[in-house]
Amino acid sequence: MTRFELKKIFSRRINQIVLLIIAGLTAVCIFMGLNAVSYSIPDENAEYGVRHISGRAAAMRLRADAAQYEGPLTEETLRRIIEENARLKSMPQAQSKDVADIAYENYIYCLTQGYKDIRALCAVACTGFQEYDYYALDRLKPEDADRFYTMRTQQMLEWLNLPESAKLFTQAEREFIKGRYEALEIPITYHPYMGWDAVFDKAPTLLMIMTFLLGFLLAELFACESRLKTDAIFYSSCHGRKKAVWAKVKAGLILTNVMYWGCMLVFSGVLLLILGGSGWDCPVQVTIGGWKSLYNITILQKYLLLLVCGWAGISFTALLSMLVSARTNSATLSVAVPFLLIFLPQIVSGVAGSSSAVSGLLGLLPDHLLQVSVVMNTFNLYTLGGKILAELEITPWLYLIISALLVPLVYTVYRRRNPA
Amino acid sequence: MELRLSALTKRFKDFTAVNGVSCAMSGGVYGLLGINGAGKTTLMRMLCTLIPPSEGEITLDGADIFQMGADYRRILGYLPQDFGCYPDFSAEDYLRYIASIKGLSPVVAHRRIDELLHSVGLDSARKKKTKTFSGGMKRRLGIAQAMLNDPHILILDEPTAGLDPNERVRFRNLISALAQDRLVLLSTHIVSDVEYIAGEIFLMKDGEIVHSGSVRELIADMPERVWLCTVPREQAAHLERDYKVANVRLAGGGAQLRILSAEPPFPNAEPAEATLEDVFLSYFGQTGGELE
Repeated sequence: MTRFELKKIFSRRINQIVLLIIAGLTAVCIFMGLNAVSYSIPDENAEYGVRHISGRAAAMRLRADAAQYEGPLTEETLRRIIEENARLKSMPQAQSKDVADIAYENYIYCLTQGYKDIRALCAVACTGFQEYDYYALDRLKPEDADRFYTMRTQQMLEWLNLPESAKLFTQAEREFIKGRYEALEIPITYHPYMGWDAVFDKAPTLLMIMTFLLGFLLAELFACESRLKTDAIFYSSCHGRKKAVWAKVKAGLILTNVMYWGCMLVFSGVLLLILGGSGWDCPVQVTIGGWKSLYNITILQKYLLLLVCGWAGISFTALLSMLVSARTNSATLSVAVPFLLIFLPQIVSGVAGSSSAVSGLLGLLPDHLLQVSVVMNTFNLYTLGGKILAELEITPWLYLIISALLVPLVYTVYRRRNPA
Repeated sequence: MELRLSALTKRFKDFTAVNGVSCAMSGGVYGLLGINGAGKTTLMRMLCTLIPPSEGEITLDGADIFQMGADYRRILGYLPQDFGCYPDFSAEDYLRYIASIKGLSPVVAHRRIDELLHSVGLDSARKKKTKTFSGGMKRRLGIAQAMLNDPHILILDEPTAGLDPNERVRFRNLISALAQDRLVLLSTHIVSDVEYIAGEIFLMKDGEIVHSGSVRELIADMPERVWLCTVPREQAAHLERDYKVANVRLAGGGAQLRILSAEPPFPNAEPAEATLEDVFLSYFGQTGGELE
């Protein structure tokens, strides 16, 4: 029965096209992820000329250049980087009037690629708490290396003491954030992580579009029986009120899971295979997007969290689409569900501003599950039974539980329908 | 096997579609004859457990069919009046799917599909997608799906709707052949569909069964008699207004009318043998009740 339910979906030309689009989308995300890793090589044929490569070759060059800085990111390593950066910036060629500034900047950049991840880290670590300054490293002195880690907690505390932050957190929550910051093991370990970075960067795009497209595929799963006037025969058959309905639910779950896990594992697997999986054991704080995060987890754990969150988000959206399809027999309404779930919260958050209540409420909506990298930098906290938990410590499990509850609900709603 | 309807009523808000219907059926072909909107389809849908009655019950050998659930549907075959197929499925795939939701094992399903496609004349079209089928082919596929589980109770709602005369005759013969050892309930508003094959006919009007019996009994119980009379053409219109006229045939300068009346409409009117069509006219009126 389940096989036929899947056949109903995939025998439609429009759904075959949607499937091709999903495969194409995965390929495009992989391509974009590979292209995002670039390496600049000094061109020997032109003075201060530079040529660029990308993909696996770039990743290998970057890894080789970064090898000297790998390992614990100690004050000593940071001092070395600051000194090396200062040396390159003060090279005699910098005084040359014959070379355009931008060309020389590009040339110097080639020589600094070994510590480009650390430069990016300094851009957020050595400025204000919610600021970004690409040139922060250029302004550091070797002695500033000693303050690198203490600055993190200090800036966070300063931010918490701002009047606008005071409204957002209770005293207990402040203590919680402080405790999480202090719990970070320092020095953090650094290894090049470009493969993971490409995955984290492109995964939200893949997930969001996949959620929409999955909505298209699932919309007809229940609604088709009414549209095609096949429901009378369906419900009057022996298994029409039980097994046949369960087969539909099962087909929806199989489709959702095969598509999600298939796309995500192919997408991340190919990227990691080509760009390399080094950096898996580094804490997320070593990345530009994770420095301020209160989640003390490794990059591999973040990847697993991304998979679980994506799974919870897409399962919930898919099951809600199925429920709407089963309840209303309307494919149009069913297709609208993923759209509303993903875009509406973003519109609401834009309109409502950043008050604690609104932010807390929006943090519980499923669109956040598709944007783990962004959410890891937020400070949405919830108190459950006197225990404070961060957003991503609740929402994936919450939505997996809701999804599990939706399964029997979809089944019950559809089996109790009376055909029109 | 006895399928019994007891004071069966179905209301949709303030509209009563079926009103206190009681009857019993065992083996053979039963016809449910009534005009469009008489409540036939609603009654059929309750018999197929698609909608529950507002009042009353339907029992099979004493057990409520809604309580029996899958056990009842296991022995049920249903061809709805307005049904569709999955357009991108072939006839064979469609029947395989229906066989699976009817609980047939793949081996039994394979054999039954071969037999039924042959008996409904769709052997050569078994691999064709159903979206390429004509109305008649779809109807035949519909009867094949209804017969897949070799049902004890076969319910056919307006099975000849939209068929041309040839297909209608063919379909009637097919139903006759399928009626062996089972209960077939066939609803229609076309008299000829049931006239020759139904053992018992229920006449349904405004949600109620107004009369039932064999064709012979219905004719015998008809409150009016049939008269043939020939009148000048200009008089025919007046007679059509005053009497139930089953047929008007123009011949020469006059018109021969078939009139239903308790008394002879003219002293020289000749009595004629009544048919089921006359019974239909007698109960449902000249307009078939549709404008009433």
